[in-house]
Amino acid sequence: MSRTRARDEGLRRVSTITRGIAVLGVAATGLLAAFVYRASPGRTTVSTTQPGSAPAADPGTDPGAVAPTDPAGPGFQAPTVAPTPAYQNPVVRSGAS
Amino acid sequence: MTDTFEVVRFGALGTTAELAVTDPAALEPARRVLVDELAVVDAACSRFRDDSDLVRVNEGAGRWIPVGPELIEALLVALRVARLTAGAVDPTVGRAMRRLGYDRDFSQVAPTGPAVTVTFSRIPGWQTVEVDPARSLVRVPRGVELDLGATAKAWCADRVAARAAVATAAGVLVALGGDVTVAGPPPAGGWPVAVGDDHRAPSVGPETVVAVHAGGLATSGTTVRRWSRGGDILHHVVDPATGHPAVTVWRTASAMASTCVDANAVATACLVLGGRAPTWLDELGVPARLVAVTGEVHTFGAWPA
Repeated sequence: MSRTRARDEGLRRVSTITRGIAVLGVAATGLLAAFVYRASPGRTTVSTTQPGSAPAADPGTDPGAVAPTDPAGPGFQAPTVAPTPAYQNPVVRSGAS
Repeated sequence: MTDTFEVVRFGALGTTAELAVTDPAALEPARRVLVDELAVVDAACSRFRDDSDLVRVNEGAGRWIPVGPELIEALLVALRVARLTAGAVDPTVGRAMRRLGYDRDFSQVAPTGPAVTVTFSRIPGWQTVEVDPARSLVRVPRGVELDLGATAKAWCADRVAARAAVATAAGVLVALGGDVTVAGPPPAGGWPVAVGDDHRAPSVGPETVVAVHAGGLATSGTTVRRWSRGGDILHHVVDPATGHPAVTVWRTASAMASTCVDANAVATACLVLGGRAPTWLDELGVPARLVAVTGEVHTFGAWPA
C-alpha cells in the first residue's frame, strides 16, 4: 500500500469515527432530555405582576355579568357596579366563619 | 319597594351554605348546582378528609402526586392570591395551622388545651409549590402542608354562582361561611347583605347593610374560630411571616371585588397586614371596610359611608 492510500484510509476512519461520535452525542442528549422530563415535569409559569390600582367601576358593563376566577388573571378588580347603601332586611350576613 | 327572595340554608364545608334566587322556579336547579359543587370542592380541597386530593398531596410531600382538575385550579387560584398579596395569604400555612391545634374540622377542635410549643418561623412559602396542569400533577417539598382555607370557600361560591346563573337565567346569590357572590340579573335594589363580625349572628361590634349588585363580598375576622392553648387565645388567620396567628389590629376586614375569591383575599390580607392595610387598600382602590378592635370603622374606595 502506498503512503497516499494509507493516509486516505486513515482519514476515512477518522471521519467515520467522528460521525459516529456525533450521532451518539445527539442520541444521548435526547435520552437525557427524556429522562429529565419524566423525573421533573415542568412548573407552572407565574407572571410577576404586582398588585396595582383597580380600575374604576364601569357603569356600561352588564351588572349581572359573571366574572369567573381566572387563575392567571390580572390584579384585584373592583366590582363592575359599586355597592350602595341598603335599607332592606339583609338576605344574608357577611362575617367571619 | 320590597324584593322577596327564595332562600335555602344548610351546613357544608364546616360552615353554612346559603343560596338565594330572584325567581322561585330557579331555587331547586340552583340548589342542585350548589350541592354538586360543594361535593366536588370538598373532595378536592378538604384538609380533614383522608381521601381528598389535598391530603394526598400533603402526605406525599416530596413526590409528584396526580390530582384532579379541581385541585389544580384551586391551587392556581391560591397561588395567584399569594402572588397578588405578596405572600400575606399563602396556601403553605397548613403545617403552622396544624401545630397551633387546628388539625381537624373546627367543630371538633378542643376550645381549650395545654400550651403549644411553636417556634416563630416563616412558613415555607407559596413559591415552593409546583403545579403541572398539563399532567395534572402537584408537588410540595417535604415538610410543607397545604391549606386552602383562605381561598377554597370563596372559589366554590364563585363557581356555584356562575353555574347557577347560567343554568337558571335568574339572579343568584351564594354565601359560604359569609363569603358572598352574586351573579345573573340582581334585584332592583341590589342584594342587601349585612356586614358584621360573624356570618351566623348579629354582631357585637358595628354592623352595616350594603346592596351588592355584582361581584363578591367577603369578610374575614378574628372574633370567631378562636381557641385557647395554655391560656393564649389563638385564631385561624396565620401570618406567614411568623407561622403564628396574625397580630390583631382589626376585628373584621370586609372587601368587595369582581369575584369572591379576590374579595376574600383582600379581606384576609388586611388582617395579616395589620397597620399597613389602610395604605395598601388606598393603592388597590377596591371598596373595603375595616373595623378596629376598638370598634372604630374605616371605609375605603367606593364602600358606602
